[in-house]
Amino acid sequence: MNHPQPFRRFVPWSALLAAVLVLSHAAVAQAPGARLILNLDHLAAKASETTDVTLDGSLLKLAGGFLSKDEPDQANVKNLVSNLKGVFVRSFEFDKDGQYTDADLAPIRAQLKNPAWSRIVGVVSKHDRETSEVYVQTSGTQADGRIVALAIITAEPRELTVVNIVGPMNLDQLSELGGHMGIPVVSTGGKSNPVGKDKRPPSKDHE
Amino acid sequence: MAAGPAPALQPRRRAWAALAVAAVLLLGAVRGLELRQRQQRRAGEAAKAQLLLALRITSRALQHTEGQAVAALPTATHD
Repeated sequence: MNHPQPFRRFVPWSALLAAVLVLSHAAVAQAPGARLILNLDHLAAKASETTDVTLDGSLLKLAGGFLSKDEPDQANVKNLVSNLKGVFVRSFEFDKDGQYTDADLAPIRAQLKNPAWSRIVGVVSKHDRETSEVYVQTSGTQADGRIVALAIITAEPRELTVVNIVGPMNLDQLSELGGHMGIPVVSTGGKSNPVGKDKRPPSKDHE
Repeated sequence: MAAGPAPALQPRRRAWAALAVAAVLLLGAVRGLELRQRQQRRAGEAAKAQLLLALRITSRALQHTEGQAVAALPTATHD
């Protein structure tokens, strides 16, 4: 089929432009690998309590619409979630130890090895057999960049929690939610004032 | 005696019939709208509850991590 010369020139350029637009939109929409594949469903059978929260962009928008702007507690949550693109939580409580192994977490940790992720906290307590890891993806340099994705893994002998939040967020905003609407108080650097079901951090008097 | 064509509805009756049909349609539309709104409200409330649960768990996980990190720190000396 013979197309006129201008049309033949136009086709590759328009395809290239379309590809650039799609790729740039994808880059803006979501950082690479920001959404983790949390394939832990097989643990639900062994768990005494399972929490599975999957909120994608549309559900977050829907939830945000049911948060009041006028009530300060809800307004803070609304503000925090307004830019989020996804919240994914898997939490399991077990009646006895040894119901999961590191191998169960290996696929998630493998995804977090992607250079886009940086581990900002990693604590292993051999005594308590507990590990806690916090990973972030930032939009700029790590020092001044904005967090665009967050992953948390806390593994205890009888409890396992994996959290993945996608979208621009501020950890200070998250800490501001503490103490309201049943959300425990978390400090993100300053004084710690934890409440909730978990044991308090050991009190260390810094004198 | 051969039956003639059925007498057409009286204009007044026809108007009442049209009104009744319109009323039924309107009621149906309103009811449908109400049901849809109720479903949306239910879905929204469920999403909100899920969101708050997720934030609670996230906050607790961060709190736990913070506790562990503080415990793991060597005994620091501050001024």
